[in-house]
Amino acid sequence: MVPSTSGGSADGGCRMGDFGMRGLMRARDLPPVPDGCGEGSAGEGERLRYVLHLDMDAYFAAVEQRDHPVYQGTPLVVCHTSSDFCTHGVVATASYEARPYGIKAGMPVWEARARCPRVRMVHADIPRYLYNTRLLVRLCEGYSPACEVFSVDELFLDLTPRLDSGGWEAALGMAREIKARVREELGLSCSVGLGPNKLVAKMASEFEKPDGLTLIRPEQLPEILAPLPVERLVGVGPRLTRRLRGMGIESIGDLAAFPPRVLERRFGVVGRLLHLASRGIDHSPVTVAGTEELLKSFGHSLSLRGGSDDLEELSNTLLGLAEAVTRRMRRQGYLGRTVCLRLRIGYGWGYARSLTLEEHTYSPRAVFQAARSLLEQEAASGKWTEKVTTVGLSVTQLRRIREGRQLSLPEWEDPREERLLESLDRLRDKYGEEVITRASLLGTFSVSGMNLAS
Amino acid sequence: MVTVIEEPVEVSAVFRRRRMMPVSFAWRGRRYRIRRIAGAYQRRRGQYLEIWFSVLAEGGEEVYELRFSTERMAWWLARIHAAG
Repeated sequence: MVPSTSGGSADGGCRMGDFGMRGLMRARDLPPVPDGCGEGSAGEGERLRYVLHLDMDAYFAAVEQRDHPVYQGTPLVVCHTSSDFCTHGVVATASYEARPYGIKAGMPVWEARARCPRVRMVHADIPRYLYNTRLLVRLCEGYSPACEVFSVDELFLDLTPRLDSGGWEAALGMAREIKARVREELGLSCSVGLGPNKLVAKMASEFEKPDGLTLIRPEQLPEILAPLPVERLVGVGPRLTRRLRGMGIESIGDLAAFPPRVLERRFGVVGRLLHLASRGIDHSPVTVAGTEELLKSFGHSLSLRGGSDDLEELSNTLLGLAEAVTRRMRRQGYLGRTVCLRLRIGYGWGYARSLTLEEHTYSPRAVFQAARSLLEQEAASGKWTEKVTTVGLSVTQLRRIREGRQLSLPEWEDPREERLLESLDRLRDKYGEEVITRASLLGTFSVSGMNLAS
Repeated sequence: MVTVIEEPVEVSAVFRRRRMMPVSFAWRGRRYRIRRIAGAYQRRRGQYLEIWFSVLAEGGEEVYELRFSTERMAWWLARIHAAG
């Protein structure tokens, strides 16, 4: 049995990294794993849901090709780079014309150019893409209020409340209408998957790309999922694939047949998630913005033009990242305690170091100081055989601001920083992120045109 | 190829169906009649609004990126995208 599809040729598998399943099934959604062979199929004993996953095709490149017809029909790469000539940084999106050359997102720009010397390169114009995403979300919200924006080019819609009767045929009709309107009103194509939950809908949308429409009904799940290689399972990245292959698990069917207790012993909570996912089971709801569960981390990274081993330059980059990360934390109501510094050395290897603070904080000063001390340690360690090409900063161990925040002694003595942050946030909320910035960041963070805080 | 221009230009625009649409612009002594608006979007710059248009002029395939800013109530030619 094959899933119901329409549209163009098939394309690669999942793009997610570790088995985090960002926004999909989480440990707290898990039912206990029974003894024996595990659970039945998705939705057993539950109310049937109709979930749609929409994935824009080569989104950034498609927007550039639509707005700049000189790029239509040619290999095009949209770059995250601070170089005026796109000589450094990484590929954000490759057009479908560039993909036969093996060019894909995350690849260094120099490698993309080496693979296809005639490839055209343009800077990522993030505000342009965000504007189009807002139009897309507005269009989709007309079909269901349960609209979860998964990323800048992906969203989930729970169509269940809008499908009183008609079942999957009605859902397919709605999906066709959404695709047609996206093409007509935005001039862009998208791939859509339909299934009984987010996991299956997302996998369905990846069956047929670009411009595909794929439905996987609950009764089709075992036959469709079982023969697929295990890395096609959403969230299974290269490392996990290697470990599973080492256990003799090649296909999703092999994973489904593997004793869940053994998986749980080997992988902990992830083992339970893997067992359920292999059977197409996902209990996570389609979450509307503002009602999300607790986030795990906030982070940003920046590629440096030509790399740098200058401590002041790297430190200034960290300051900008700390500003952007903590601004997002405050806007979404979070405090964090562990500061993680990630460095990429040359274009080869990278590593991370972290530091846990005494108190939870959203202060850019506190986060920057922690990151700066980690940076100084690493600079003095003699590990940098080449220049640092990427600097990343993230904050983990989060909790909600509304759960309370303990003021440190300096804050009791001098509440001016707190008042300054409040004023800055009010200004940015009202007039936009770029209305005020530190003078020391003007050069570093205005070049790429990326608004890091958005 | 993208060429960054960032020069002020004079633009004639019409308002149609509650939307502003440039119809021609003058740059370096030459007037360009716009035959197609390929794309448009808007973004905030602090308290000001910027409206960007990607347009094609008659007699050419180049794409001109025009920017209108409410800060100065003025138009700029930001970039030109050309084949090759």
